Amino acid sequence: MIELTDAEFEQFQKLIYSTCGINLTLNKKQLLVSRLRKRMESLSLTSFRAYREHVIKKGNEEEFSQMLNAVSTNKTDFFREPIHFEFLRTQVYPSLIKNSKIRIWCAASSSGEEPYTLAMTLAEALGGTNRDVKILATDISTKVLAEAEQAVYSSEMVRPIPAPLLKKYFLKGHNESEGKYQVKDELKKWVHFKRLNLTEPLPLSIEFDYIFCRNVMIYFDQVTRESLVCRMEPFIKRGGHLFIGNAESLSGLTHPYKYVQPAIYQRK
Amino acid sequence: MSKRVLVVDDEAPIRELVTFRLETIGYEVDSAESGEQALEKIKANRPDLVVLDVLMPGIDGLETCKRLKADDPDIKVVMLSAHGGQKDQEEGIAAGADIYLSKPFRAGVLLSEIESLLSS
Repeated sequence: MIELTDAEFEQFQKLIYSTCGINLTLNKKQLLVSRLRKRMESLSLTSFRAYREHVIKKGNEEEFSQMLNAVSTNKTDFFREPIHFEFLRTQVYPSLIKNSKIRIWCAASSSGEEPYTLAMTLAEALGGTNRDVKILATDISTKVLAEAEQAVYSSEMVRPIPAPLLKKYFLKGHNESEGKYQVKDELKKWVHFKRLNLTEPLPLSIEFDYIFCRNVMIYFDQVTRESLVCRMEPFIKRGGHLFIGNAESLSGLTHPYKYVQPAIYQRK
Repeated sequence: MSKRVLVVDDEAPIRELVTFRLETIGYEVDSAESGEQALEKIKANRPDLVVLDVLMPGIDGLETCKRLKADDPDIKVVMLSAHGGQKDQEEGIAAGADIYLSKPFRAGVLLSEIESLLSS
């Protein structure tokens, strides 16, 4: 069995923090061991030190991104934290649907549940999918992005979706795809997936009507959070909203937003 | 300073898609729905690259390309066309296109072609 010493753990901690802002605490050590061990086995490396040297070597960027895939957790659900979707339906969509184009950024999209939930609720508000809507869905993990593009979910995963919406926006699998559901193309065409590291400069030249950035900042320390929400501001239209996770808060941070209600902020 | 791209297509969905994808990688993007409008916009505000559909009412993409290259050969042109034949491609290149892609194209391919043209 390969062991990870505390000193080695600390080195990974620093490497991961400096490259993607995720702060691995010591209680995540076991998680790191089990996830990285698989990567090391596939490369036939026999120590964590050797693995660390391998991933930072020039030319091994792909393995580096594999490592980030392994350490970034991706818990997500359709209609997770439903109060935000209710807020959108009652406070945002009524005026938004008058616009000729709608642009949304889902900044930590994971395997796609959140951007597709946004797409469904918006399609309901618009009464169809013919309008010019684009949802940018980004994540640091290429693995979850590939899953999100497939847009195939198990019956367990689609459970939170109200039955009429499931029927309207998903194809039900048959035969070997029994028990699987796939998002229909008419909805999928709105959602564009792209890898993006939120701790790096944001390569965007667009203003979004609102940004969803939920349950990613819990991995960041205060400095990284503050930097991120400040850097996001110019990409939100004036009066547009920033949604963060219910477990997250901007209190104690210096930021330019107006507080609306828990986990919802507005650009002034 | 981000590079400027002008997207020219008479079909709104293509224009919107390409514009959005380019904006999400940091380009400053404007669009035009005809060759005439494109030439006016190029004169008013020079882009570094033009994404140009071939089949459009009025002056088509080939003619638009010839005219814009005659004025400013340094503007890069990526031509898009539903005609994917060898001859069509040759015509596009002869009109001055730097890259010729046939529709339907993969957005990823278009973006990487644009990135490499603009970094060279």
